[in-house]
Amino acid sequence: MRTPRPANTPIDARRRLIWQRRFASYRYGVTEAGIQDWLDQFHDADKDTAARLLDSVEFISAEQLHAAFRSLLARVPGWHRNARHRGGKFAFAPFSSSAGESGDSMLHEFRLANELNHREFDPLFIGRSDLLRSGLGGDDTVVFLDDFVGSGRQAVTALQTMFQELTAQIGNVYLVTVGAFRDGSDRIKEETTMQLLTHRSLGYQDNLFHDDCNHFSANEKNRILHYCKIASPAKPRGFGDCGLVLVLYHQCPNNALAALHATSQEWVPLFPRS
Amino acid sequence: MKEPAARTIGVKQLPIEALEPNPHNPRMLFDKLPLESLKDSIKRVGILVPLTVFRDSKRGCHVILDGQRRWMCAKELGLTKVPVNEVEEPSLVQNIVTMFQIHKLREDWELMPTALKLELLIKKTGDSNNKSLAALTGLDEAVVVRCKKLLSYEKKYQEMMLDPDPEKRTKADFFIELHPVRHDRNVSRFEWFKPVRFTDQMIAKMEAKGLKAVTDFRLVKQHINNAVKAGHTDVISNRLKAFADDPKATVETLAVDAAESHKLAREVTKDVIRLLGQLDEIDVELMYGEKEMWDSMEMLMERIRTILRKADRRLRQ
Repeated sequence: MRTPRPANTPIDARRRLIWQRRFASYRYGVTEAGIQDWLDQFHDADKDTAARLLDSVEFISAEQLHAAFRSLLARVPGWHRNARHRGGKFAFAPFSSSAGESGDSMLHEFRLANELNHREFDPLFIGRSDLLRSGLGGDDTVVFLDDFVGSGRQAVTALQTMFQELTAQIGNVYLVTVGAFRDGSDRIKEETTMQLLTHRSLGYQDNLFHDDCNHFSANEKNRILHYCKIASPAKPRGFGDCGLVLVLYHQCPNNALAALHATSQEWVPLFPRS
Repeated sequence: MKEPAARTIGVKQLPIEALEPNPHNPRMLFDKLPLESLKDSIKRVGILVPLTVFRDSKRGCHVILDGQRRWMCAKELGLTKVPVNEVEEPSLVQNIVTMFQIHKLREDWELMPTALKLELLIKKTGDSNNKSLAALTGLDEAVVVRCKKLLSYEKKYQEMMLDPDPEKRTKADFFIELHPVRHDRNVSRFEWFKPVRFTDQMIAKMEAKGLKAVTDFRLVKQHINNAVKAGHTDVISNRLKAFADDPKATVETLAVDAAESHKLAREVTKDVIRLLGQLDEIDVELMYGEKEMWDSMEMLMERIRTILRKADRRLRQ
């Protein structure tokens, strides 16, 4: 979470321009008018809090994402661009989502970031259904790719109910993500044999509603929660109650607070997910 | 860590933390109630039957081949050591087969991982016969057939069945129910029919609620069969195309000539309900010697089983 400007900082043209420039590359585009429309959903008395909320949003651009993927691959033990220097065989597979959505698009971004988009590297990139067919063994490595781990519930359940059997023969199983919330990281570590490598580790101080987050007063947190409930009565704090203010350029994680990404009859988010 | 010079194969005691669950153990889920009664028994008399384990040469740990429930209970009871029978490390295929044999498949489990394991077994053993595979794995033959249906789908659909997000995951049942329509002899001859496009259209239809449930495909198949039997093949071809093209079109739009089969279905349903009522009244003690009745009931049961199998209905044990 970024440090927001002090309370009662004017919402002037300069501040708006900073938001607009920072968020412009979001998949559905964030315009000056869009920001104004979003702010207009807050009562006048809450506009300062809304502006501070926008200040605090941590936006990960395509460039940052690529840089993250380059450094993450360098951290995978045994990896080398040249197959002869690799420790065992390697495969990269999307972790979540159907075609075009996060897991698959992450795989694409990962290839581009690491310049693995040439045909010679095609055999390294497999689907989830190829895990057994791939013939990977005890000395080999499979790297699952995803954008974000929140509560970790979905990743752990999927691993225990589907992927554990399909990767049982593979010596090293990694989950590489752009970001991971502490609860999810802990859960994956405790409940699975999969190793998580992540670029941005988020802790309780990044959960806007947590006591460890001291960027917002208790009253501001209450007001933000009020608007989050309008956006999503069921999951106002975001999936797994993570309360994050993290946005990836291609998609806002559902673990982010609802006022940022959830759509309802009375709420239009600034970072819609679809 | 120093590797021991030699290992004993056979029965011995091992520290509980030296053992790991078998990653090939399907789904690692166990019913709580039987676990509690096993825990009680271990508390009273200890572990009488040693766990079967092997040493994983790659990971350097002991993996449980049989006895994961006993191991879990022992852990919960705070035992420090458990008796084990160490066997040679199995091959991948041996391990998969053993796990299949030990752990019964549950109805609510995702079937695709099982199908992929079955595919590996078919490849390694060269045997694709349903009966042999059922015998080898301990799976019900109907489950083998269902798995093979899933494996007949293109990779992109197999991926959909393996999505970690349950909301985005397309259930195996959808593809199993669609299979008879997609592989219908008459449908595959329709000029417009392309299996992948048709499958995509059915997925879109499911999302658009043009299909109320995956079992709607049984009605689709029935409408096709009835129309073809009545000589209306061209009509049903056009209707099926329109049904596929419009995500919101419902199964009822396919009805061409269903009156006869509907009539029979209604009559059978009525008779079955009446028979069920009579069966409830049977006092086994009083009718113990009614040979004809018992013989006819066995005959009926066999006939029903045959028809249900033909209709690809899952038979509960």
